[in-house]
Amino acid sequence: MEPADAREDFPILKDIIYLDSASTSLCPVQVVRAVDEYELQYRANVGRGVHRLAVVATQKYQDAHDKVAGMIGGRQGTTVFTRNTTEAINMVALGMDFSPGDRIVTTLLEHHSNLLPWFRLKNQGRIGLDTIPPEKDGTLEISRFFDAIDENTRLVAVSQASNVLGTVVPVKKIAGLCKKYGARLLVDGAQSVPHMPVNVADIGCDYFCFSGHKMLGPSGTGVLWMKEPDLSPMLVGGGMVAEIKADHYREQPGFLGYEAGTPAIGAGIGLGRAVDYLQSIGMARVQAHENSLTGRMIRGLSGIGGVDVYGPMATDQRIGVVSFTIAGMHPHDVAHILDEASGIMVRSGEHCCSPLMRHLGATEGTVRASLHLYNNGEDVEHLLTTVEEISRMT
Amino acid sequence: MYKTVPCIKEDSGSFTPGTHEVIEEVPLAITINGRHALTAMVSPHMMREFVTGILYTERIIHGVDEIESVHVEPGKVSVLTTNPFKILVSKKTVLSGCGGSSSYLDVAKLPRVASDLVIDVATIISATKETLQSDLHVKTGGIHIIGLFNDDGAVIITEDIGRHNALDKVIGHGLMKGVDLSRTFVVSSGRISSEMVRKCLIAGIPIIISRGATTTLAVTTADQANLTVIGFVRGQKMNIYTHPGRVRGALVP
Repeated sequence: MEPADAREDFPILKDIIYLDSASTSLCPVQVVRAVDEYELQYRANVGRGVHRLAVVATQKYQDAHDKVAGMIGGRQGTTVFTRNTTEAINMVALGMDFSPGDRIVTTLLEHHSNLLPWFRLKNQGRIGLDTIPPEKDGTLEISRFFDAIDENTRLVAVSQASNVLGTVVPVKKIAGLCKKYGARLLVDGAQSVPHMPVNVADIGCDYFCFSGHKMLGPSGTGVLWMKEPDLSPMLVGGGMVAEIKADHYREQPGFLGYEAGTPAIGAGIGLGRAVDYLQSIGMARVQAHENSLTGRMIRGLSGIGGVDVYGPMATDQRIGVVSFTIAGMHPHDVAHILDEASGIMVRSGEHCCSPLMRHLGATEGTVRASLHLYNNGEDVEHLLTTVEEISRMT
Repeated sequence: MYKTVPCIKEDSGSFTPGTHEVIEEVPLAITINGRHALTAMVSPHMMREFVTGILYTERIIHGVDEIESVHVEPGKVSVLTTNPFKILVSKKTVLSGCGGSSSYLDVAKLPRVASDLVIDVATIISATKETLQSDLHVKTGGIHIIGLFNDDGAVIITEDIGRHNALDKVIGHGLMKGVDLSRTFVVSSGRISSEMVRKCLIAGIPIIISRGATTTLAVTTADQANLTVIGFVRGQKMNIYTHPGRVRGALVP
């Protein structure tokens, strides 16, 4: 299927222009139907029952894990369903066993979800934290990682693509450094998995976290992939236990040991369907489609007087997340007018990246237009025309 | 595929403790869409192919694209189809014995073979020879072998305690690999039964060959449904029971 053919699977696009996919993507009818089918035709708990609905639900839920793992080249590891990327990253922060003197390296490019878990550990006195700032063009200089990572580094936590600047981070190079010093690598793939081919084995990371709801899946879905199931489970209880004796228990192998309690079964199955959908187009094709639109968007916005565009200009170093400001206009006002005047949905504010905003000097935040496979050239032209009109108002 | 087990060996009146290689036989419970569909006694390998084949030859599915997923565990296989609430199956047990199970054999409801495949006598002889080369058979003396062939030679040759199982395995393999079964023929190490004829008809395989015998019901069914049955392929000899037109030069004036 071509990206252009996908639009009819997202009925809301008949009424609006959706440029807020970095926040959460739209969900195609096929995914909604898969969730519906579970709820109406074989709703049952997973892993517990022997009746036919339980068997069907359990197998579909397991298949969804396999599909997600396959999409990121992670079949050799353990793929756990979570509520979102935030939960996945917290599972790493709470599941690792830190020793005195351990340090964590992260960057200023990160979403709050890849900062706060480490801030908390630091405030608890359990780790030291090194935060690498981005360069002026929004990229991360690998030499700064050379300086920051040493034998005391237990973990490096970095996103593969920035949710503000769109910067694609050289995570494979960072993985090489981590290996050299015996540090583990956590990659936040919330903004990369929905938009480009990703292979965790090729990257060489230890933990990979991402969101289902940004990759056409139902809301309330996310993923923690582990190379080795070496984290202590964040939650314990029903479903994750293989055997209980007196006050001891043995965890289930695989993802089951990390999914205590009844999970979001229908949503998880829907996420599996979303993977099928993305793969029917192909992630390389999704990336190429979005790259071409991103180039047009960046060139257009940069050419409008009073508009500042943030992040790398070259489309081969970024994803379709474009932050900009209009001189003399608060980003929230811009976003509001874009909706009111043209039915264009964008995000405005700090994008859960306050430290980065301060670093960029964008005290009021930015306007962020972000793409997905269902956007087209017309969407971008509408945005550019409206931004131009708004810029003339100031 | 086999285990070495203790036995007492008798030779000319003397009994001595020893061991022998015995072929593995395990029950395999097949669950389809959450319901137990059948239990088969099988050799525990190529489970995915076996299940694909038997679901197809039992006409529970009509193509591999109807299978959404297959989970294989020791002793059981769980299959989900793409329309999990439309396929309902009844329980039955498939035995691995020579007779096999009693699937329905209503010739009027079986498809006729539509294939203009013609093969040479030399091909029949060499394919039979190739099929019967089995180390496992030499070791255990207790295995059936089925080969699936096309113009390029052997597509797959496999073994099982039951030749019906082995036939389902090669059919499943062919379906999974997208092989055009109307351009293939099968070779069996054992007797060609009506059940094997039925499986070939459903799979659209036009020729079945054996170094062994066949049965009256197999011959009449094959005759009515345009399947070529060839038995007793030994040395340079063979018996062509039905539709000899598929063997080059075989039309007796």
